[in-house]
Amino acid sequence: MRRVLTVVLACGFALPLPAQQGDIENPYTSPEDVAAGGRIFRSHCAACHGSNGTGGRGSDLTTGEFHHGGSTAAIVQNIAEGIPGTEMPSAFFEGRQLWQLVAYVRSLSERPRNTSHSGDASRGQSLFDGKGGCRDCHQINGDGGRGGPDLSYIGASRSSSYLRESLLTPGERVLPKDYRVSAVTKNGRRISGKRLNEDSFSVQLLDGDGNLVSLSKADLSAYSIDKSSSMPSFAGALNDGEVADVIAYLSTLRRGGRRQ
Amino acid sequence: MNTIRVAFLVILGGSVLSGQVTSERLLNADKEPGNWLTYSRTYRSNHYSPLDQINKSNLDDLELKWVFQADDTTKFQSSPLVVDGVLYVTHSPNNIAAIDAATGRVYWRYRHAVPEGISVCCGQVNRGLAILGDSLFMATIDGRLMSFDAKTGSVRWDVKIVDNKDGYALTVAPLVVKDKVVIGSAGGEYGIRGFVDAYDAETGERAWRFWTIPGPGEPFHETWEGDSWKRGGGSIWVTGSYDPELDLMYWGTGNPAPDWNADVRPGDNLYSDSAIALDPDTGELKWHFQFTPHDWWDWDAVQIPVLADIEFKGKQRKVLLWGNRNAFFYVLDRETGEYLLGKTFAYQNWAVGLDESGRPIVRDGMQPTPEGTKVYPSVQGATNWYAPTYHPRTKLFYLAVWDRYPSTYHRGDATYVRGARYPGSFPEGIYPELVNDDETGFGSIRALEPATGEIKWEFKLTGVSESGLLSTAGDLIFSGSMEGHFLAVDVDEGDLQWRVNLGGRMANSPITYLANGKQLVSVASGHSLFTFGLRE
Repeated sequence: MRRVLTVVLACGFALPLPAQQGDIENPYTSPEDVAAGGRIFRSHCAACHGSNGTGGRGSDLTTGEFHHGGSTAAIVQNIAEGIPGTEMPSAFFEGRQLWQLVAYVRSLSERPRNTSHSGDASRGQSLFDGKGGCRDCHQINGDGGRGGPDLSYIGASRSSSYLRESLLTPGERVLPKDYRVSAVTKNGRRISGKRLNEDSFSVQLLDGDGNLVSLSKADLSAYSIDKSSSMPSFAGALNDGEVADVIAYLSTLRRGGRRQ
Repeated sequence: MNTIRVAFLVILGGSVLSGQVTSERLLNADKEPGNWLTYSRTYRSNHYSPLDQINKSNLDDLELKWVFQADDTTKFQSSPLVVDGVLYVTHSPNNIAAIDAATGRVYWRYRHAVPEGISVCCGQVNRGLAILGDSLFMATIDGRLMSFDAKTGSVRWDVKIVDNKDGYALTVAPLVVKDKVVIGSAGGEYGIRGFVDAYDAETGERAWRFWTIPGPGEPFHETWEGDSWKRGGGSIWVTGSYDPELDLMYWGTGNPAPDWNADVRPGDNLYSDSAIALDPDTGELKWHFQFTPHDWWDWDAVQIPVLADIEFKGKQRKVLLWGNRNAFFYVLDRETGEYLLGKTFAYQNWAVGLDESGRPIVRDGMQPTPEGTKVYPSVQGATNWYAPTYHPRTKLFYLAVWDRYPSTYHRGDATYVRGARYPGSFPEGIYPELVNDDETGFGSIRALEPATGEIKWEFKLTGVSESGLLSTAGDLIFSGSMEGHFLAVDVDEGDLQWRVNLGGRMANSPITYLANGKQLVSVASGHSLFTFGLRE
């Protein structure tokens, strides 16, 4: 929050009146500001969020729902500082340019858009739990396997096109946080699992039995990192309609939908 | 009675004299192994210490002696000074602590009130102090150069030099040469026009200014087009070195602005990304060497200039050793600036090689595009600002390396707005964990043979390092990693000798000194300064 206030004051303005309890007001929201923000967006943000903001590797910004906070203060902070634990870097802007970018991002969700998914979310959920077998490896709200990424908020962080790609060609993009490792200790014990952390001298992993294991590299006779995806492709396993259903279901998975 | 009086006066005299750092002491800093009197210990910036109490035979007895906890959470990039048993260290944004080097207890603290709204590209950091007489000098992020009484922390003078509203911020540890305090300004991401300044240590009056971006009528102004020089960058944010025999001061300059859209600044853009040699009395430029002309990738030449005297092709040469962010290691004649050698020390794909004058031959298609161009090394470079070291016995040059990390560089809008960031887009892959590549990058400590650039050994790290290197007569190199390990390797083979997990990222360079005659080693990790010594 201190950083947010700093950013605000960097504009040379007194702190604007809050638009709502605890929030701050963007002093740059004119059509010219939105246009200027759009230019910055296209040259700095479009590679991940798509040229029209509908997402790609980055989240869809046209839905009006911001997974990491929808207040102006949160959007400012997420752009200025990046979002730890995600692929979102700090955007290297502050002051007026940052506000203009925020104004443009806000404008994306104020435009008419096609919100309908071609699939059926409830059918998708059935496929997820049944035929697809997805829950064997993926948790949603604490329920499911631990082998693959948690999908509790996947609808907020990934666009439909990204989800489609992940279902059909899962090996195309495997993030380092999803690498798997195999190790053999000097006394012959074999361990494999999901790599949680690694440094020059040790590795921490979650093995197939759900044990948290910390290994010293000095105690290992073999160690390898598997950067391929353990997820099968669903091309062929699910028909086009079923893929659309699963994507529709995954797109509903957001913080707001979490069970209490 | 007389004997007692004499003894008292001797003690009093000793206490008055202690802590007085004359320019003569700075010139002969190498003869004071117990102290660390200037940013890189001596003007030669070898980051080497003749201390050998701590060595390979007794590392099992190395233990934590004390911890100084800074009360902020910004990166701890400051390198301390140690003067006759007192350790002076800064921490973010511009606070100073004077500490008993033996116990870690604080004598005094100075807290700087930084105005709200200060813009700095990469954190409100400070890299340290300089000392002359009993005055400390600190440059501040709100554009001031300040002098302090080293015994109390009282401000002696306070001079406003630049305005942060123009994008300037002072993060560098000053260099004292003779009676002057020399600094420069950061702000290469804000379209500043960089400079090196010298100030009278007594009064704070400016003695001279050298613009790192030449204006109309000055040599090499033609390497800029139109008004692009006015916001051409060329920042100074890492401390230079000095050769008293040649009476030349050496500084590395930062990137041209905007960083990643070079279309708006056609030409070589001198003296960005360069080594510059200045007369310390006048600021006159004696020579320059530009590592990355017309830089598209933000490869500041802000490495610490390392002075060494080496045999090169059968002849003894006074040289600068320079591992550059652009992945090439350079050897320059420090008297003339003549290019002697250039060789890659890490994987790169942006240049076919260097020509006979050391100018890079840039590979086609390496410039950033709106869609993105993947280039090695990454925007953080194959090395960066943290200290390399030169060991006088092994005659090897050691540096922290990021190898096989690319960035995807984008070219974007580059509209200048006063005081606002002026980067012309920004790259993907600033942080290693965001790089998802077939090859995984890694960090390492590498030993290079200066005369050939050949890699003699490396010590690999899984993660990268922002920690500089300290070599000692105990035949050790101390360094750290972003992983939080503080470690020591052998200078001859690079074998790991000792390590401890301090848990926090290391973003400064270890130093070593004596307290009560015992060798200590200090390093910052996370937000604290940790000090180790031998068990007694």
